[in-house]
Amino acid sequence: MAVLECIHLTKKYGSLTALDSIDLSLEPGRIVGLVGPNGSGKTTLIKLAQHLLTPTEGEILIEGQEPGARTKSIVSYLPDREFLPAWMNVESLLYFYEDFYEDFDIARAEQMLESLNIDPHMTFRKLSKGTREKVQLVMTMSRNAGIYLLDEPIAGVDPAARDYILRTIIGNYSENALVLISTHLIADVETVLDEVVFLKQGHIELHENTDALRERTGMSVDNYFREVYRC
Amino acid sequence: MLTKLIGYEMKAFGRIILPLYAATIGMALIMGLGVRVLDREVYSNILGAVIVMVFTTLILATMVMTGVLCVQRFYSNLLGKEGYLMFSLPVETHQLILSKVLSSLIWTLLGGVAGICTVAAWGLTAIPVQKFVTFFREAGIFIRRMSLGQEIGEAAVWLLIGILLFAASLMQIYAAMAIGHQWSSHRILGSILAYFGIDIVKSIIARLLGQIGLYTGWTSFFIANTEETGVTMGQVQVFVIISTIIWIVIYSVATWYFLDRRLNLE
Amino acid sequence: MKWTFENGIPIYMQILRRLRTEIASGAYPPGAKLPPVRELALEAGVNPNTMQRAFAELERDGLVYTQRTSGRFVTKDTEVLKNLRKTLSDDVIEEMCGRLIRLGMSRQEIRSAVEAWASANGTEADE
Repeated sequence: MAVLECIHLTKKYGSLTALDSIDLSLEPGRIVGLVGPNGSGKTTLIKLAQHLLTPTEGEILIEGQEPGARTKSIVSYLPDREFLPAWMNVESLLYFYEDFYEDFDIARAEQMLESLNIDPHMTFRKLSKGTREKVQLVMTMSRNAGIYLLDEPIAGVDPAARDYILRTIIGNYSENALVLISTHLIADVETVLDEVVFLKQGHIELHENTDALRERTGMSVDNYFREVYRC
Repeated sequence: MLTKLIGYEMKAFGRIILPLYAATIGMALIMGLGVRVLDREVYSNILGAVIVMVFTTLILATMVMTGVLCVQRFYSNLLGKEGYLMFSLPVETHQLILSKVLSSLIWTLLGGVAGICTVAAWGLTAIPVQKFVTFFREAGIFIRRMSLGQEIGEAAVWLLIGILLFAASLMQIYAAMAIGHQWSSHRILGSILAYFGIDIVKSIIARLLGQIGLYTGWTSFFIANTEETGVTMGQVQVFVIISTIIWIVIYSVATWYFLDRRLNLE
Repeated sequence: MKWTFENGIPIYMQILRRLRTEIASGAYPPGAKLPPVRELALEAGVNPNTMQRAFAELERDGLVYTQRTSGRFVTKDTEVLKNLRKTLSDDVIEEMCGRLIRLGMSRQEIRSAVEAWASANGTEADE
């Protein structure tokens, strides 16, 4: 059964159409890549799933429900920017997450932070940019969520951090959860993906199993992507 | 969930405000001791002037900071980058708004309490204990006499009016910021324009109501009990309470609509 | 050894090829326990479902068997392992000969080149 479903989903910003009547159905136990160039509607789709935006037409459903307080308790979202309060220290952020999210596994988070040698008494603001990104990932992945929405998790990070992020995603894989990763850097993630959704100018260009795509086209997903989006 | 949200606001406010409270009360103690221990003459020199200036600045800073935080917590925590966190919590939008209003109210009232503590701190140190006991005895007699009469009820009404007017003016700012964030740039300017826009609408409505003898704004307290208008203070109080509640409802609905249905995070 | 993947070939097939080679070469000896799917997926940096699919394929071919509680093991059936080695070596020979022929060598030349290689690199007994 689909955990994330879009039905004729449309989002317009004034005269600009970001998503144009898309239909999409994603199942649990999959790691799905949401790929497309900047401005193709990736972030818009993720924000709609989290009720940070409301659809212009059509609907988006999380486990059959419209996004709201109920669905947010089962969706773990990593925005494409820094979003944690800079004045809090890492420890109080852990308690904050534990307080608000029933599915937050604080022991797992503490263990991940320890393996990264992050001092929990450090104020978030005082951490380096790379460490702040890792803390945000740890917070997001330490929830036992039904859906993980990761918006551009590997953009602008160094190769070591990218490997860490991808290993964290694989390491936390659950057959009950859907992981949706938006990215424009396919080469880095393609071995991790079960399925890939190509977005192009607000339309779904393709939605296919990655191995099937490689077999069908005789190309890597990345090479095929370059072909589809050639300027 | 609402209590958790308010608890979190308490921490966010407290880490800035509590040190200010402590500094103000500490300064009051120092001043009080100064009066007791040192010669009165000492206070008529530069040292005295500096101490009084620091004290006044601290009080002003606390008041200004409380006001700034009431606005800034809403602005940065909900409409800034942190909005991505707050709007991802499993809470309803109205709970987020309510938590900001209630915590602002609590901190404003706590500011009053801190003010009383400051006076007490100064009094306790500056005035000999003997006199202090007498003061409290007299104050006790005064309060007991008040409770016999209707003063307590009257005071409660004024307190209610104060709280409602505070909530309404705060929520006007919130509504203006929620509207201002519909623009993708110049959001602060948009918020300010929205604020004055609301103000203009409000004053037009108040003037129209005034023409039919309904005095709704807080300024109408000054024209109560005058021959010119012929309305009593009690009537004005009722008008003000009802109209303020109506405005609070309007601001709440507007803020909710723009945050829940038209959210536009950077 | 680090895992690398080629373009245009399904990842699970590349994993399968590698695991078959490791079983044939004895890197995973007969009866040895294989690492859990998740662990191997993490090591290879691939999706656990993809790794699972490769394992399922190994199992279908009888190279691997599952014990419900304790995990997956390499088969002890020497016949199956012999066949595997044969299939894999046939592939290598096929590919090598194809390339040599494309280089313009005749069958006779290839045969003597292989014999020359074998005598230059010691005898069977050295292994």
